[in-house]
Amino acid sequence: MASTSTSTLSRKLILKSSDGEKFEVDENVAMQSQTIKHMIEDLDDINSPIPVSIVTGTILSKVIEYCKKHATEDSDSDEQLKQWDKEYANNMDLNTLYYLLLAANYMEIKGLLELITQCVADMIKGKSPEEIRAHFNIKNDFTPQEEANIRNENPWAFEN
Amino acid sequence: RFDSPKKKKKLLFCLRNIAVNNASYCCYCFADSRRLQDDLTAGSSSLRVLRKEQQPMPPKQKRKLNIDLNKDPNEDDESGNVDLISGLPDDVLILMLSLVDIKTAGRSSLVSKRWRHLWTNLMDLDFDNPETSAIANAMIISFTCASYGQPEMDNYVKCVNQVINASGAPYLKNFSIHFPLGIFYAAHIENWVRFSLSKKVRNLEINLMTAYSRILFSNIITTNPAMVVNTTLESLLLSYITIDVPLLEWVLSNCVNLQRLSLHCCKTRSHTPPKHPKLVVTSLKLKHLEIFSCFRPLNIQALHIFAPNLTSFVFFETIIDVEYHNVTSLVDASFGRIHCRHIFHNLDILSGFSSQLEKLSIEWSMVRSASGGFPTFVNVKQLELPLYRSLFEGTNSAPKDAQVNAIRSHQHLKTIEYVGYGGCASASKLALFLTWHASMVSKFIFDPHRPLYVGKRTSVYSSVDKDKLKIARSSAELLAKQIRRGIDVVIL
Repeated sequence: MASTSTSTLSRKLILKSSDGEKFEVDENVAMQSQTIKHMIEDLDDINSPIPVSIVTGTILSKVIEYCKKHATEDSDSDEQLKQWDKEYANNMDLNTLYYLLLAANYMEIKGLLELITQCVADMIKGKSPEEIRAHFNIKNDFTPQEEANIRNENPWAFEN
Repeated sequence: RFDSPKKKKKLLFCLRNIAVNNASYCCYCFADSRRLQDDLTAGSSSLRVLRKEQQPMPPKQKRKLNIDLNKDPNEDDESGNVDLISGLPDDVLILMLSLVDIKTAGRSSLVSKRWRHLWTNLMDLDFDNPETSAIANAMIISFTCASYGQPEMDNYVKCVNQVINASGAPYLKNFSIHFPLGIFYAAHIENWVRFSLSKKVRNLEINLMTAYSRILFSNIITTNPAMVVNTTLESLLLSYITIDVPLLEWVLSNCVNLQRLSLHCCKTRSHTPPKHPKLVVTSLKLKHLEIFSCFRPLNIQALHIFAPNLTSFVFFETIIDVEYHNVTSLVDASFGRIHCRHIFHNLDILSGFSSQLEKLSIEWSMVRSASGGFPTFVNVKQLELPLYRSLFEGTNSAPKDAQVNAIRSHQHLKTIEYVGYGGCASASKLALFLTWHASMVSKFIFDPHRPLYVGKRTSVYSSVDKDKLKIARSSAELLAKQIRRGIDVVIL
């Protein structure tokens, strides 16, 4: 066994998506996920693929793209990194955003979770309930009576 | 009545590193504020985002994954669109709602049954969001008219009451009240503070915004069992609150984890407050201390600081006697009002820590009589010199050779930023003058947003007027054409 100090630098991990796709990544990239970090600690053989059970290959590749960018410190200024984040999030369609959110939440990648959450929050901002429903295809399951009750409970939210 | 610094039209003139070698940044601000660390970086909305992002995640609740990943997305909706967002875990949706204004969050209860009670778990109750809510717009107006109509006050109070009644959050990260409310609403405000303390609030901001608000804070806090030994409160802002010195010392000793204390324009109840020889700030945890216009109204003669972890200190007062006993971590200091003139003529006051300062702001108009030249602070990387308009107009006259040489000697001056640029002619002239003579400048940033508020952590901008911003931007664009080539002009 090589000493840990030298091996941590170059160690590679294999992540396996829910649909069986395998990704080889540097350990420091994968370690941005708290979940994976904890998994590695419990793992005896780091050469066996680490299952990321609820994340598909398509989404996992995007998650890895984000982690790679954020794994290398000092290469970019904060400003550049922010710009990169912005473009990264803007290039996603709604469906991808949902699955990325789930993945970031499951994998516990704080930065990614906050980035995508902010992106979706910006879509909600200033919208009426009707607009939110329309934007996200949410079905209104209230009766008109229930709706009236909610409005009465929180009049401040519905006043203009 | 004391005059509030924020009411004065004022220009901030900030030069990074005049006195030292590695100057790389220069910033001019035309604003009522000197809280540049906020204002320099970004517009208000992105700042707000930053602030939210820094907050830790809501506590993990029971994960609820409603999405069946293997389900064909087209299966149950003929249009091919399914509601995926509602299947996200509670904590993700709550995090999302904490990033929108409280009104939108409240309205989300009407979206569907899934969303019905989500917002009541919000742990950030910030009744101060200038982005969309009408309440916040009313708040901004309140800066220009000191008094505010009773219907608006009633509405604000009603809103806060309804939100806290509905709140089911186990604890609160932020609770902020920013609204001009008079003594008439004291009972409500007491209630809000009690509520937030019972929810173990971490950041509490009570800003009543009006000089005549006479709400007594002592009773609210000292009679509260949560305050006997409070381990949760990390940040406290009290603005336009009636308070007394024993209470201040009480807060400092009882809130054992307090890291930030901001006191703005606090007064006592009586017109002739008893004389307090000194206020002693002793704290191991305190990192930020801001005091604006409190000492004279509270009749405090001196300030003694023992705070080894204090990193930033903002002091805009008329008293001159400040003793620094243990400030080994202090790197960022801002001084204003008469105190500022005093320290400039008695630099030995700062001698204990002047070499550790990295950022220094001095209200230049207060010390303009200083004839001994500008002192050297060896490690200062950013120097801010707030200017009054009258002083600034002096630049209308032709620059002297000495000034040209002074600018040319700043070989490391790389970035200049104008904050609150509105298109004023003398500012434009100065911009051209600087860019022409400062050879190393490679970037010029124009930020037309005018910072509004002195000493508040979240930066609020007064210019909600889009037309004004438009005009400022177009004059910046015109000016950009005249600025010499090789300079990257950024208009925010």
